[in-house]
Amino acid sequence: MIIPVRCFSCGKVVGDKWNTYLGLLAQDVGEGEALDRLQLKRYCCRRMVLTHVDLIEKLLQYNPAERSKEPKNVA
Amino acid sequence: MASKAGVSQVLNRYTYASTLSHLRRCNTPLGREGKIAKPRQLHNTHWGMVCPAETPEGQACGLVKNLSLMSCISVGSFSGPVIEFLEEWGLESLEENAHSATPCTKVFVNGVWMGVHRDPANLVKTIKKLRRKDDISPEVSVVRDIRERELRVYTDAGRVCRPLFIVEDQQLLFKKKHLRWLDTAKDDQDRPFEWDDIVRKGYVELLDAEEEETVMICMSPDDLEASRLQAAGMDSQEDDSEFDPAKRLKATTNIHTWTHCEIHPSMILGVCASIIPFPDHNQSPRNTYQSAMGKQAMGIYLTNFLVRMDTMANILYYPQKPLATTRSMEYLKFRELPAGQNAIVAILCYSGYNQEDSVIMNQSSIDRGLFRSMYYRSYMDLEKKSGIQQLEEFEKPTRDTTLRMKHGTYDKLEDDGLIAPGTGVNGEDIIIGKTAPIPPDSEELGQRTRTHTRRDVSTPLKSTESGIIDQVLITTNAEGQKFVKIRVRSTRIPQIGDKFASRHGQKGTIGITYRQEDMPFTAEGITPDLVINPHAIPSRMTIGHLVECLLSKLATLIGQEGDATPFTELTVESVSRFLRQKGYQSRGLEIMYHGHTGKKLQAQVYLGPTYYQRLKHMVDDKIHSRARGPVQILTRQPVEGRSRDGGLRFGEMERDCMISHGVAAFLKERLFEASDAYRVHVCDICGLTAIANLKKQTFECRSCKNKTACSQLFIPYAAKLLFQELQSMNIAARLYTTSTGRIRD
Repeated sequence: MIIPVRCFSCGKVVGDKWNTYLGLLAQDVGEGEALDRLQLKRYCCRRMVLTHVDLIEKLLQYNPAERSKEPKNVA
Repeated sequence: MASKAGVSQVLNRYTYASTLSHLRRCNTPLGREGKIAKPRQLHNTHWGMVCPAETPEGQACGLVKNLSLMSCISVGSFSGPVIEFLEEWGLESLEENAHSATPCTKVFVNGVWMGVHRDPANLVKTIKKLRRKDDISPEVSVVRDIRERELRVYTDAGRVCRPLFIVEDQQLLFKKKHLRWLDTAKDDQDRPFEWDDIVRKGYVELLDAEEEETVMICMSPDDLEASRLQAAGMDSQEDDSEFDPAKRLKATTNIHTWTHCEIHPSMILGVCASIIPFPDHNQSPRNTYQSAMGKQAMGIYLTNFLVRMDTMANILYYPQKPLATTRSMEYLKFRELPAGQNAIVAILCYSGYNQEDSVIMNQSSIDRGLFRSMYYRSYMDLEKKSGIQQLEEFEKPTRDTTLRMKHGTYDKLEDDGLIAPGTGVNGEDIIIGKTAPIPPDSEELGQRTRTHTRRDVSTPLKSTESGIIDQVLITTNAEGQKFVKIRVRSTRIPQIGDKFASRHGQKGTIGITYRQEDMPFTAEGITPDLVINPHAIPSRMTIGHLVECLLSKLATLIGQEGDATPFTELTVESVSRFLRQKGYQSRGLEIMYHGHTGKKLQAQVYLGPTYYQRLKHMVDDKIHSRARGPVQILTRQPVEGRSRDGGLRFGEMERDCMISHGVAAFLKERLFEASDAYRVHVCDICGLTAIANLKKQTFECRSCKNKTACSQLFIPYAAKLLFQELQSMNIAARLYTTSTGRIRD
């Protein structure tokens, strides 16, 4: 859902690298190269960032607390 | 008409893949008991239509089938236009041609004999041409049976069809540009272009099982290339200087009459089997096992789970997309809604706590969130009404007005009779307070006083569960009754006894958890999340599991998903070469050190990431014990099942075991004292039950006029029940024992 704070296996902090990683990918840097630049050396840490699915972005689209005053535009 | 069971089913919402799979399942309503094996077996015509791997085990094996990825069911089209066309093209009607001696072909439409035709070859050609031009519906099937001199046309609904590339002159009609158009969804003239256009324009054709028998299908476009070269007189099998023994073997054929080409051989698989990486490297039953297990894996089944009120739902905290993917996953959205995590797996004997399909898990990894999940459960209740009269009411019941209150606490309820979100609940706490009126004349077994007006019908939490109230929903239903749903959430952290599985039918439960410092480690500092036992591999022959691990390791290093689609050119050799380039041992082995001593382990360890699934079977939902507890009303034997705090059955086989040990006293204890011991008083004269008044210590058998000779006996309540039942049939079972002094022998 949200990127885990630490690598499950070795305990290296990876939670702070997700946004940088996304930034690098946006600049057309390859995934492998991006991971190298983030100084992720061990494959346990690399899989944390590489295979993470940021589902929180999708979940937040169903915010039940959010209410708009204007009637919704149901098109 | 006899009612049929199992026609309507609740859509499976365990994982996204299980939902998709459920929607593509079909049932054979044959007797499950019938011994004939044939309907259960895979038939040649199933190729590409139903999945060869995905079927349940046991009773319904082979009867419940799952459609392959690309197959579809015909919806039916009008036969009128087809018949009209046939008449236009020289169909001779039956009346004029009943006794014709000249050889001609019978024409059937949907099984009805419409007439005869003299040039069936041309007729078939034109019908097919028209179908490819979309003049006739694409799902119409045309079968020419040359031997029987029949031409059968089908337009009806319910035929399973699958798409194939059309081949003409040993060339695909589907070209590179069409692929490009499909990708952009627009053709060169900027008109929309999608799948339907390929079918309509006749690049791809839908064939049903029967028409498939009349065509020549090649496996891949390479086969076409080979036959083209062969026709041109060139040897396609030119001797490669580099011979790779690991390369996939190609069948050599001399066929140059291909009419169709497979889209991809991996399309024979169904939804669940398409998630398995390298299924072509596994023993086939393993793929069947995984197809069943994939439906129990946790993940995120839908992104709107927070607003849904499913009766049960499991959500994985941190689902990851697999490192070894198949191309079919693209269409199953497995990357978007995954059901598992890439665990670092070592295949190793370490301390012995991973024997017999158990696994060792890294406690430190668990603490960092590995395989952590949430469990949601919803409870539902409504205020029953009869007409306008309000019967039941949600409220907080009180002891002075309400009868038959439950033992759980009512304190957590608010004034509206419902529990508030955020409240911690456990055991048998009441979460929905509800009462029903007692009829004014009812005595309620003398418990009722003047103040009692209502009876308690509240809903307690399941006795074995605990959690936090997540959401409360109050509405009215279609009949205008007040309707409530309450969702309870709890976090499930992996613990000893929880079940996990890779994607190759390799399941196991946690045998022990070790902290990071007790786990073996490599020079790099990698500790495994999971240690599985090497004995799980040889007899099961899940080579795919090993190849997946190797490919996943490479995938993390080069930062690219590995393609584990079946029937592709990828070889272990090529993966190994890349791995070597990256500075790792080419076969995935690593030198590891013992977590306790720091000494090198004797052997190198197969180590790498493998996709593991957490399955829904967790110990906390299964743990059960009982000393005393509730009994059945009829037999006074302990009730059955965990949810009712039931007993554990001492069954026939256990009984046999005790008999062979000769431990009669123990056996008697299990079968009698710990079950349904009962005391009866019998008359020594007639051997039937006597009237006993224990307070006054008087015993009497009225029919024998006997007040002095009675015996107390202990028998199972079930035996007493049997005697009474026999009595009702006019059979007197008389009890005489040594103590009564009248044994008849």
